[in-house]
Amino acid sequence: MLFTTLDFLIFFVLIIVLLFIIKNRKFQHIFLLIASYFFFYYTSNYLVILLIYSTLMDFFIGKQIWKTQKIRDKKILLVLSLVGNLGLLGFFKYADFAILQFNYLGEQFNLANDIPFLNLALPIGISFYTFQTISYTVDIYRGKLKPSESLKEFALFVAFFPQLVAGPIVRASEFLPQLREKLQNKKIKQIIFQNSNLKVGITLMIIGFFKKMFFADNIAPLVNDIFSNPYGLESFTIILGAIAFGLQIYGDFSGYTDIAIGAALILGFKLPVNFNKPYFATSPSDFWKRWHISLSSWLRDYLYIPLGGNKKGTKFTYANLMIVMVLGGLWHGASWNFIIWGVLHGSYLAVHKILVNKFPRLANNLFFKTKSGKIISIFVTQYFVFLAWIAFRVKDTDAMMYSLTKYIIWDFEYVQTLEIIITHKISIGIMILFIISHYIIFKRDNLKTKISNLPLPFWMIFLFSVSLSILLLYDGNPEDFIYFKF
Amino acid sequence: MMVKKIIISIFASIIIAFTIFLMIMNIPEKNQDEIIGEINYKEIQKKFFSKEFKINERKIFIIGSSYTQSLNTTEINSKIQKECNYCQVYNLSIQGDNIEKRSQVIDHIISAKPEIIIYGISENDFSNNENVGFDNSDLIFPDIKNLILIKIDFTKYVKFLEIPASPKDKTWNIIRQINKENSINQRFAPYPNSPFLKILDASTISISEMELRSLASNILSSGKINEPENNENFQILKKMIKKIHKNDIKIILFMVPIHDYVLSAQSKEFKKSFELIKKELSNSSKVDINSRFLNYSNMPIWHDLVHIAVNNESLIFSEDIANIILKELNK
Repeated sequence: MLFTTLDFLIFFVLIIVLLFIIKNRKFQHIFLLIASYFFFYYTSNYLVILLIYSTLMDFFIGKQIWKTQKIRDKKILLVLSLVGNLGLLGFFKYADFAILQFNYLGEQFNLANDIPFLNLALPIGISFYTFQTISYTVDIYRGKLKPSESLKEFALFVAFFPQLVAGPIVRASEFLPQLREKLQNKKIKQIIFQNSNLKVGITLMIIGFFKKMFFADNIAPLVNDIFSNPYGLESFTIILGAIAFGLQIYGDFSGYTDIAIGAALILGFKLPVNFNKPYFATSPSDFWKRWHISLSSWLRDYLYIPLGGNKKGTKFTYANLMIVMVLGGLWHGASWNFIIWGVLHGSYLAVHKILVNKFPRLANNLFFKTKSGKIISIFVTQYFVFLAWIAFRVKDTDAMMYSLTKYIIWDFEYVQTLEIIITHKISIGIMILFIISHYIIFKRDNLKTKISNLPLPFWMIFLFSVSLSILLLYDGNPEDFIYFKF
Repeated sequence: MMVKKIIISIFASIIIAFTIFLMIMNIPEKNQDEIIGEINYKEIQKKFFSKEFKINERKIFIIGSSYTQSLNTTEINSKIQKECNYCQVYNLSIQGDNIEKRSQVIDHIISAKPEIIIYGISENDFSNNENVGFDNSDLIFPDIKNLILIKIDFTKYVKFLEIPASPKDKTWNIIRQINKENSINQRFAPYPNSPFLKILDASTISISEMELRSLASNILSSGKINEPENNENFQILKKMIKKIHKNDIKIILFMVPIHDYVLSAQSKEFKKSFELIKKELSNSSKVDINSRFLNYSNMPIWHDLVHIAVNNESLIFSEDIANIILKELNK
């Protein structure tokens, strides 16, 4: 169920109405769980079985890990959970990709081993909920988390509909206490409708819709036009396409996240922040502290640190960074372009670390603390970030290489670019508007909170203006959320 | 109390926004195609066919929709009349024409006693344009989404409220209208012997490869073509051809030009169904169907992905049609 469809709006309003009528906390948890399963079943049909399987497996394994005293048995159980989750993910998401590579290799060595593809349906949100359940069992294994006593609560943590499909990736330690807190605090009659939550939640949701439907969906035609077949395009056109895609994916994904966080907040739950003005990052490592924060922190805690992090010497640190980013890239989808995207970001992080380690005086130079120094750092960082977006967007390797070359080596032609700007006046105008609003948000911290704190009449004007803008520029053929494919 | 106020504010803002949105969406646009295609369609044809033609004239009628509006009768006639003095070609294309509408006036066309009728058809004439994107063949459990959507049928309400398929396009058209940018939309008759054509100035513009690519990125699903026995338009066309043959008039069908970008977006199933229609038409009605001019896609002659621009750069289309007519005359 897409957040931007009428189906979702009706579903969400119905849930709120029912929760409002039936003011019983225990019932509300069960009801939210059923609603979450319905949400998943609505678009994914039988694939809901995988969600239930993952939930049951990790609930019982988690309990066993906690109960078992022997380290060896704990390890075996953890491996069982990892194999179960990653096996599920690997089978449904990467089987056909592996077969394709295997067949290709066979062809190179003249072996007649043309294995047929499985053509499996990709379960929506599988990358997100398997990462959530993995973090649960690993945290129990590490002794950082007590297993959930209630299957109902754990199931709600895994399936909670606002973040089920595309995150943020929530840790059990962040979510489960929120359920407990509400059950233990007898004064709380119901889990929703606190004044502040409702207003902030609605503000976040409407901003999310605006980012997705007004900005991202209206920039998409320009991006599709440039990257559906980039051969023969000028450097400036490719650069324009890369910038447009960078803005589109940010509007799309952070818009989704805002809707998810807002919806959860209305229902009384706090989800972690996933974005923090990423296009103002001053270095690659700073970028990953601002972009898809729940994924980058997950990769840090459950992959980078177990690999040894930066504790095993510089060479291992660089290798670990590369492994983490390549796997992070592959997490997005079974395709070479995501691997290349990961390699690029891995290289950025490694090179940045090398520069900081080898030239500490340069890194600590006071110039980079000044306004001009920061602006230069932002531009250099974003030049590389947008270069990597090309790899993310263009699936065909040859077309990607062409685009990357044009992005790096400029041809200084501009006739075609002017033509494309004239053809896509609306998209260009909306891009400029996006950049200006992004800058305003950067300059004025907590703008979302400030909007939600507006007096009711002004807040109404805000809601009205944003809703009307969304409706007037609604595309009849809107794009799916990009991260729904992962 | 505060919660109620907030909820009322939310609903009030959304209702006001939606009401204004509906008002804007219902501002009439100057769409001349509909006026010519629907309101005056029968009347203007009736008038034309009831007039007296020259006694010795050998009439050749080109019929079709906007796909054939760029056929230049001056060019075609000059080529034909080199070999056939008394031949006179008329381009009777009408914007928004289709097989059903054409069948309603076929008696008038026949009454004018043309020697040859040359009819431009396309896949769209036989497609029902229904959305075939939803495939539920692999589902194990009941498809609740489809069940609910069928029950509620949102499209019914969208139609009732007269919300256009793409509000964005409507909004920009209105802005352009306000800015008087529509001055380009002057209509004119492009050449003689084209009584029903009043085309827009804009139709004379050949767009660039870049713009074509841009249009191509928004191509929608091509719909579905039913098999000949269940295809209503196929049956109507068959009857129409029979009637034409009965009156000793030759009829030639030709495939109107469509850009490669559209053709490559058609599904295999769609192409196969259309081939079946063509085969059946050719077998049962004994009619020649001239294949599509596939070399056009690389030429700078397109107004959009399915229309050839009405200008001198696109004369090749008229020349090719003239050759088809000459071939028939020389038989």
